[in-house]
Amino acid sequence: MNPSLIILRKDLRLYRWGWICALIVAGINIYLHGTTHGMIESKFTGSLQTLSGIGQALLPFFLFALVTQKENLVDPEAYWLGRPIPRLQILSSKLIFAAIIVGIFTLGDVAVLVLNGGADRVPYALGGFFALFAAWLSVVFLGAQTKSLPRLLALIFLFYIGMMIFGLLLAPLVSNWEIIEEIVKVLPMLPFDMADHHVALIHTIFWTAASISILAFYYKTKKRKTAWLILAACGIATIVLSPRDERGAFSPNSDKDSEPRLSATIIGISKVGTQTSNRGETNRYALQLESSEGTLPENIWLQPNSVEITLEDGTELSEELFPITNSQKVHSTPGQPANEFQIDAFHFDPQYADWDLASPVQVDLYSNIKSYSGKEVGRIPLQVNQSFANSGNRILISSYGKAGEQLSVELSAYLPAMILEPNKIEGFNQAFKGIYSFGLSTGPGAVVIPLGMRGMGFSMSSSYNASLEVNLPRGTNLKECELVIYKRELLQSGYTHISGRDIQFPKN
Amino acid sequence: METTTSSPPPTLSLQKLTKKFRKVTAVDQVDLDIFPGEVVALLGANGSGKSTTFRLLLNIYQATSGTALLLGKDSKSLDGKDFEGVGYIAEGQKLPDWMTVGDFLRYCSSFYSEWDDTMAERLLIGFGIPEKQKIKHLSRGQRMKVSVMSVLPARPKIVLMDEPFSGLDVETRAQLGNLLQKLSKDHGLTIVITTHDVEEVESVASRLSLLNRGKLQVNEPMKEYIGRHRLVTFEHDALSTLPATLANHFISMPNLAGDSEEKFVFNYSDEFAREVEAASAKNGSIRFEPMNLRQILTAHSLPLS
Repeated sequence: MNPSLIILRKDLRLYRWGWICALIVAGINIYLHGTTHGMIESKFTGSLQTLSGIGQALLPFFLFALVTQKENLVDPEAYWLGRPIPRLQILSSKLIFAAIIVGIFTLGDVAVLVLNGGADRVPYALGGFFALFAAWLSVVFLGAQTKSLPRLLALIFLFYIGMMIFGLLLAPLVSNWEIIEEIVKVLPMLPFDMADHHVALIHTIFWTAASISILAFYYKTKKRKTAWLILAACGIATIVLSPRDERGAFSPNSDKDSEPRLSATIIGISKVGTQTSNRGETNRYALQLESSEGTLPENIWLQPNSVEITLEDGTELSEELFPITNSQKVHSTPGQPANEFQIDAFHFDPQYADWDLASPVQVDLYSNIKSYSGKEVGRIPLQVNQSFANSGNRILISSYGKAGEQLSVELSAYLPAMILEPNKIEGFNQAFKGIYSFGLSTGPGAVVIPLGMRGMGFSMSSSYNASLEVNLPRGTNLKECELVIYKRELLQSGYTHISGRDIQFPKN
Repeated sequence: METTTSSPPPTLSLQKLTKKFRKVTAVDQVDLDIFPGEVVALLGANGSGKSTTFRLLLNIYQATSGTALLLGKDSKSLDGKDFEGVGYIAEGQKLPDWMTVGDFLRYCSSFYSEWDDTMAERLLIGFGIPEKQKIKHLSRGQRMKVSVMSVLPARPKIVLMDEPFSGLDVETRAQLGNLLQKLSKDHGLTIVITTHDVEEVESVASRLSLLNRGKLQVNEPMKEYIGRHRLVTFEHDALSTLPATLANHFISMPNLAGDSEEKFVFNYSDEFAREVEAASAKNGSIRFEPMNLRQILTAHSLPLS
């Protein structure tokens, strides 16, 4: 038998608790995210969630470290020295072991996707295996050069401290940081508009190859310092293999046919409420816009990037205005002309400013513009603990309540994100990343009423929740209601600049 | 340094081998050839460079300068299959504690293409180690036996043993000594043993190599080395009657209490004995007694611990 398989068999036997734990963690994940029962919030599922999170983060770390250290390269008293065990075979056994554990987690993710009707996304989950595998190889590298866990932790700690000291020592020596910043800026070589998943693919391929090569070099030659130097060079190469930072390189109102178009002007500003944040209480302002065409386009969404106000004396206010970066649908308001719409644009506290806002101002809105198709993908009865699976995702009605004529619905969702998957939806300020929108059907044949978003939340994992609300038509029987789920598909994406002159700023 | 010349190529060859750890020179310009079938006792005090020499030979450490050839191959490039013909047994070797003795032997056997199951079984019975015992429950001596059992059935061409007798009882030492002698004699196995137990290797080793502070101070066939040393006893004032050319050969044995009356010679031969006898016949006799290895090393003030 191949020596690497002999060592692997020994490791799998010695660390059977490791792969059994990995199987348990994967099983917990499948239960938590691939079944309705697992999605229901309870103390039990909460504990499982914690267990799964800790398991996925710490188990591979300690397991890979322990496995690698069993045949490390620095202990002159190791049992395998002087035996016909090629070091590269030792490495391959450790890599296979790591691949098995990462593979167990990946297969768990695949099972969740399949259970949630997302079999078409399985290739991305399998691709994610390599990203995770490459990331964990760093522990194999550290494990190979340490004899025990305390030494490995000490090495990580010392490395961290060393980097801090290096930074502190470097600071007084470098008189002009701008030069370094300029160097770092010119290093990235990829096009600025390269899609995230393409960058992720390049990095995954690069780091998988680089990590295995560095490990192979280290195991073959035992030249630790050189291996670290190669690692540092790979770190720099990663910066080179990143998209250039060319903000502003795109031209607003691009003529590209593939970009959604909206020809509009700003015709007014209105105060729409207040907002409490860590900056204190500020006023929220909306912009009134008018489309130059007779009606508003369908399924166009704006996501403000920045707002600029130019005062009569030429003073430009930009940094003082905090944009409301929610992705918002362009839609007409009942009672208003059909070609007018409103966008929540920014908030700031004008009472602390000395600006002359009494005179008319010029307003410029820089915004992402996207067009989506909204396709109904399913309906579930409006009942607590009803869940719906679609395209690898699972949505659950956690609770709902009625106050007067207003219905509020609490939803939780599991929306796995895979690093190599094209990320068409970028509505991070939307419930469930903007992948879904919701409506309420009050009965058979009734018109579906859109649900508005009241709040949202997300955890470090792929779990999200959202509060939706809607004003119910009179006489609505909740028992007959259904939650209608729409999946949004991105059709076009671009940037737009909309401006307006002689706008009167509302009085505080 | 004088080395044995022989037709077959040396199993082990060190040429100006040097290893420095920062400012400390652990192995200093060592030249040594060891030939097939030789049993070499590599002696020296702690820190004299014995273990470091082994680790250089096994490509555990990289030499600062010089070369170390093991089975004709530069040790710097030794890996994997190259070790099929090499056995390494070290006192402090970390065995996989969680394995049973049987599991460990089976595990080791799978790495070697020629594993002598019969020998492994014989050793297991001979050493009296329970096969199902976990290694972590074994005594120091038993662990050493397991190390030996995990190497010798692979039928290596050379065995490097770092303090193999450490922790072994008298009976097992004798058993192991006999086994090594037999393997060397019958199978041409080359054995290099580092030890503090000079009594043990005196009977087993065919050659003595002694390292002192990293330098090879002695490298000679054991019989010749012991044979040219004699403890000398003088009757009456025999020494004073000898001519200076002969008297200069007699060296006082070191003694912590001061100068000793005991003397020894390190270039004894029958001819020398006859010359001394002839010169001292009138004024009392001079008796030469054989010395054992420990006495010789003590006489030369060669530290072993």
